[in-house]
Amino acid sequence: MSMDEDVVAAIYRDHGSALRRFVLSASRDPQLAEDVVQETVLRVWQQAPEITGSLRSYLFRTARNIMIDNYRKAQRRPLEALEYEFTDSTEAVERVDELLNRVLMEEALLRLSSEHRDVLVALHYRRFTVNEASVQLNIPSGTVKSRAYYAVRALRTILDEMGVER
Amino acid sequence: MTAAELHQLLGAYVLGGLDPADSVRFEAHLQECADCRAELDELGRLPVLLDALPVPDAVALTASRPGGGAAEPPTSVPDTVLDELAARRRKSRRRWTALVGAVAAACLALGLAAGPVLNRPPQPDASYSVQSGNGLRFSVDLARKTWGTELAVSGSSMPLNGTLSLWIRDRDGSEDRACAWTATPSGRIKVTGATPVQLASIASVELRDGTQQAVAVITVPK
Repeated sequence: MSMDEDVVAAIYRDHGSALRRFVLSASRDPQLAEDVVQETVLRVWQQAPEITGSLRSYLFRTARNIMIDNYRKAQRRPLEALEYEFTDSTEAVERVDELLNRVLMEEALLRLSSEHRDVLVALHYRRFTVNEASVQLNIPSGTVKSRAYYAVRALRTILDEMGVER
Repeated sequence: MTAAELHQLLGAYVLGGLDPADSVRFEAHLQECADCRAELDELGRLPVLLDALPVPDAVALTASRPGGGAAEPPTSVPDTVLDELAARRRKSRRRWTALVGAVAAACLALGLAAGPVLNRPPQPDASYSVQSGNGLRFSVDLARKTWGTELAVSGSSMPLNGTLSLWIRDRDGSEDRACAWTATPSGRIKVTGATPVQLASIASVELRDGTQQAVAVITVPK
């Protein structure tokens, strides 16, 4: 294998599944999705960008752009447009961006420690009070409060690294 | 409650979940603490961002993931991608492939070569960089000149002793020493060399250590 092939293989190995999952959430057709994944990896390899933050979020963003380009192209060919769920392009862009934000946030939460993630999910998503979270997670309420603080700090740092705007 | 504890209430305040007494305490503290106001400003939008992920998906992340981090099965690269890779590489003339020959040097095994490094002023005509498993990094920019080829060399984690040198081998097999320098204690180096060999005739660029052993070789395909 040449070096370029090593690089591409490494991107596939580390990010292929996550990328495919993201693309499949926006596309009905598995073959189309596979093409998007392929184009994404090749394009990132070709551009050889200087990435300081997270390669995975860069891949997600590239896939998002490719899907939107594909959608716009397909719209000019009515038969192909049927492959997509969306009817107009504003709707398509919104939907893909929504999916992108979702996958980026999921990625960010997975990068938190499980202690921080548990407290954050309990308070924000499950709408528990500090005391309820304390019972649920079986930790003192003071610990819930301090973990909540360090969880939001850590999350902000992760999001900055992933290039998610404030 | 200590000032530090008051300050930390910010987390549960942003996420929601403070009981009314703590909320009142924290809001009173906010009035007096500019640091907390600035931090609230910075973190206040997090809930909106968090809402991009639906509740069931977020809750699912807390179940049975003790280590944290995405545990996903590795994906192997499909053959179609490798075919396409080869096609695009042929199309793009700038993207020469730098082949790194692992030379029989006892102490060094060469690893991965990154692709050509682009956008380095002034624009070289070709650029290669190489990194070995033990940290040695070495890159060469080649610029076409009327008299031959100019080489801008930079490296880190290079050998620490002796005289290091850069050798050019042309397509006919003859060698020319482009430059030589004394190893630096930091292992870093930035030097410029010159060779009468024309860029198109360069077959390989070789870095040698004090004992004339090759420690890194970049082979330039035709």
